Amino acid sequence: MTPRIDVSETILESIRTALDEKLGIPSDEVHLESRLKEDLGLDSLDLVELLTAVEEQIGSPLNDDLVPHLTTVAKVVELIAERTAALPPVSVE
Amino acid sequence: MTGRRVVVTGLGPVTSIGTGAHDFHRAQLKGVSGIRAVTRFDASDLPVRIAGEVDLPAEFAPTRRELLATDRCGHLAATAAALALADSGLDLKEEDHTRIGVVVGSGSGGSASLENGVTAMLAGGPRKLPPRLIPMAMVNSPAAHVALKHGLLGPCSAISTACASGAEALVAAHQMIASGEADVVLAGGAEAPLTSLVLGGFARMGALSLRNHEPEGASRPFDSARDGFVLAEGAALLVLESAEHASARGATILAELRGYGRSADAHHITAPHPEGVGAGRAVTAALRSASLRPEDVSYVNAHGTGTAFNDASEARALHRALGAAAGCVPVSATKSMTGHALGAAGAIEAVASVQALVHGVVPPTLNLDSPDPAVGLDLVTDAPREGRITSVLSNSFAFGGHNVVLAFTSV
Repeated sequence: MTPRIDVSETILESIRTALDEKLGIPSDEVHLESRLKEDLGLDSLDLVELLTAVEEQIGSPLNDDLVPHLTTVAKVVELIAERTAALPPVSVE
Repeated sequence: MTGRRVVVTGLGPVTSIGTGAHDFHRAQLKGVSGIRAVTRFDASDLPVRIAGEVDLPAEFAPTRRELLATDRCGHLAATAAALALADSGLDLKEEDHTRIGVVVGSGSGGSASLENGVTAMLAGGPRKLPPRLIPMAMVNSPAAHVALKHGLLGPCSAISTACASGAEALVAAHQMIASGEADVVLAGGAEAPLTSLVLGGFARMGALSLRNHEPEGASRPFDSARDGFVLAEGAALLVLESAEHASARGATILAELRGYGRSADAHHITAPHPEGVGAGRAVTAALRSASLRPEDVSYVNAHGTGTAFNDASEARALHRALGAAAGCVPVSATKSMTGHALGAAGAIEAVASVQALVHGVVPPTLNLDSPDPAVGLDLVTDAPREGRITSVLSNSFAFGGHNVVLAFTSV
């Protein structure tokens, strides 16, 4: 039996890493329900930076039109999950 | 000089020899060098591997978020602003912020950010350009950063005339206050040029000292053994305000920015006029604007870079403008200690000039072991010189032929 971990938890961790490395936001401040602008203090330029980081996560380019849809961490998780749906589910041995 | 009187009430130096008015002044009088082997980036493949680096005190160290969103140039400017405001005793909560301006000069703004952007693009294409590249690199970034940080709502601008930027910023601030456009202006310069592109570029011009083996002895203005200037990072902002505003709030007035003189060489893009004609005209204009005679000048804080071209031209300019008085006015060069912080230099040296007035001491010039006999000035060499100081000229002469001379007087 292979233990499975929640895909969204893995994506959340990768977003935490991106926010920390690219924007200097401590990971413990980042939760699924965090609002990017109001709670984490991101501005429009930070959102472009985040979009670029998401691109790196999923390995394919994203349209800049997506920036206005990046409102909460959960939305970003959803975006990555959608774009990586074709990939096999994440699992650990 | 017409219009309202403009006084200095706060000093915020951030230099390789000391940060804050007290530490900077003490270091000048001790005659210490801020020049060392470069640590801010790997300079091992450059012909010049020494510079004046600033060690920001822990309380001014940028947060990780600020490090990623603002260039070093902005951090230096923000530190200088906080220090200058604290030194002035200005209580921003009591002030009309629309009457407070900002002018920060810089030669090149966020050089490291620009260089990082180029590197990212070459490695991964334009999509990899950081979205903050432009706001981090732009030359007005330090000025905007200071206004943002303190919510200052008056005129806010940046001035870029290479090594005269910091002095030129004080002129702009003077004009804002004298004309009534602002009551208080935080003014000066900031520069963060310690990147492979900028250090390498100046080295390629042959402008820099190659004394890598002897960093502390490398910056030697007016010395026979000089071999070029030493690049440095740094910033300084001064709080300038109208004399009425300063008096009304009971501020300690350190000095008056009594006048200034400016001119262009229009001679060569980097070399100063060999006879110091343009620089001399700027000195004369500063004297006139401050209603001073040559014999009234108690001290000249020289541009004094330690290049053969500058030193010869500056000496001739002083002889030209001050006549017989040139041989008996004490002259010293701050860059012998701090190195040359380009667009910040004029402001750092304005701080040194005001401190000489306040304390009645001319700081020494480091490494002036064998003064160039052709200079013919009363150079203050290895020890501070005490005396009655009532008026000081601070020279800044830039690549591009921009000449700015500030005249400070005691009050």
